[in-house]
Amino acid sequence: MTTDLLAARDAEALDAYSRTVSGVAELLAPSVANLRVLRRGRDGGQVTAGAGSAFVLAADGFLITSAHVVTARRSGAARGGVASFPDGRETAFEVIGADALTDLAVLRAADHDLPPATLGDADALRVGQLVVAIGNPHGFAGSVTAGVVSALGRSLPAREGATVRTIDNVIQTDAALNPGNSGGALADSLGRVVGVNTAVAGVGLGLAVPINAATRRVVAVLLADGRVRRGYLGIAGAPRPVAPALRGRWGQDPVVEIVEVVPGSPAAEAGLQAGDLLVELDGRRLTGVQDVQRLMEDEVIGTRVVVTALRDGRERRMTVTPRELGG
Amino acid sequence: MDGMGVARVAQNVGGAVVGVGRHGSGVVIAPGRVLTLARNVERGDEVAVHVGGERVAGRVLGRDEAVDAAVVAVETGDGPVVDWAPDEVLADVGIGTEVIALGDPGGRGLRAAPGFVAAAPRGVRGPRGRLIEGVLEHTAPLPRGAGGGPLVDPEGRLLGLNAVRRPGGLILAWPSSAVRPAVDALSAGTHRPPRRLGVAVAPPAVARRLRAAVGLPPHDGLLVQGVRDGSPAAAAGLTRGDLIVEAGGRPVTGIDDLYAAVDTAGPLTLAVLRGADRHDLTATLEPTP
Repeated sequence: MTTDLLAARDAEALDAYSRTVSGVAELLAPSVANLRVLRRGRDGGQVTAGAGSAFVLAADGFLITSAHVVTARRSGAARGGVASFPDGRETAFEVIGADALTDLAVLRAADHDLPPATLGDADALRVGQLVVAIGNPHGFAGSVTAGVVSALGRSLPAREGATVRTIDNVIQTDAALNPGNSGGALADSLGRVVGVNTAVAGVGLGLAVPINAATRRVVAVLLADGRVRRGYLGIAGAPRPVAPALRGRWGQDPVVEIVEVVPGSPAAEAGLQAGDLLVELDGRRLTGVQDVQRLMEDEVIGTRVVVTALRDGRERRMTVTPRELGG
Repeated sequence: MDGMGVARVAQNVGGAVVGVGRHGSGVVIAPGRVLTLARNVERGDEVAVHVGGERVAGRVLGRDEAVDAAVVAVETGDGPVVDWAPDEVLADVGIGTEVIALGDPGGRGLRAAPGFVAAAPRGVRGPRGRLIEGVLEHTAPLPRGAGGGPLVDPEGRLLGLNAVRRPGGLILAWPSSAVRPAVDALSAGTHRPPRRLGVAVAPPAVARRLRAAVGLPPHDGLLVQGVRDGSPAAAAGLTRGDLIVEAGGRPVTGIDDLYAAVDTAGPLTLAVLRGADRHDLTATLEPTP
């Protein structure tokens, strides 16, 4: 048999599924780098502190990866290193900004002529849709696994110091995520990046931080400022059902009971107390702690925000001035 | 302790304090035998030892990375030797115990400083993640390079090896009770590194969070994050995402349960949850040569 004939048979054997997956791999793999993260060793030299993947956001040398790949586990300090691409190129990178609470980081590579990936929108994904995970565990060749979107809207707790927030709308996939895939791309069938592979919860249970309007905003802020500022109220809360008598006014959805107020915090200064039921913040109805978290974006820092609380069944309005979290 | 006490200890014990390599210290525990931290001799089997101001070639007899200790053979002449503190002295160490810390950073000169034990002895993870019991935290200030130098009581007896500098000027010392049992095998060159399964795992708290995120029922265990190619774990069929829930027939609620099972001779039985299904695996571990 001639090699041409063999090639023709191979082409036949590639069904639509394989063609899609290999097409995505061909398109995207050149944009996915292997990261070798370095730290200063005992004798002053550089030693490898970790490894992961990243993908090119823009040709001028910016890459996206998972914050946990490029930050020290205890101190959270950012670490630079070397990015290697499938075409054999190696380039130093530094961390422009990392946000532990979304597990996203933006890097800048010394090399500026890198093939960028196309970003998609995870909010447009549907359960069952084909996705392709591309990482680069070894530096010279991408690792490609395919699967489907198993679930959407998962919440993944993320921690920075004493602060715990949830990363919303995390994508769950059965595409196998290898260790070196952390920070790599999860792409749709058109090769558009819809997620950043971040963790494995079990066999066939991979999790990816979505690329959507919220996370694009985080990336933009990291590019511009190097860090994400968030507002802080100083309450710990939990969802509570609304008393039947108040359902006429506030509906069936739960409200947020304040379990604890941090002394000296904006919430304490506003006069909020443990036991208060928060129903509205800045005119928006709260049904869970995550709603509070979502409203504490950077633009509320230092502004006066009206909060509506129920205390002893009576409605009270107070003004709270969020401060910068960790600021 | 007054300055006279420190001066006396420095005089009696100082001659047994040596510099190890360019960045470390050590202590002579027997003629020709220097005890130091494993990390001070991590490169190669030869190391320069500074004894009494002279640079002498030393040969590493053994390293035990679990307790971060190593023994080096080196010509020490008939210089002084530090005695181990007896068990009853070690047992009495607690907050407020007077100590003197000594070092000779890279052979650049003897240091001796007094201090107090600042915390009840407690378990601290060593450089390999293994728990070291009875670690001493003290206030005697030491410069960089004092790691591996001795911590002694006012009688000059060895309580431990200075190992880690903490914020606030506190120093952690690996206690003699943990280091001493390893010394004989290290000196004889018969120390064997612990058996290794070949997995990277996430602790139970992380495993619980991740399981909750995908709607799996909570279960104590270690989440496998990576399996080294060609390792006993790979041969046993462990894979990334498995939750190790039993090892050696006992439940696994933390990393130390897995270490204990791995350290037990014979094949290692493991139970893992893959999703919600339980799988039983057996790993064949050999002592690493």
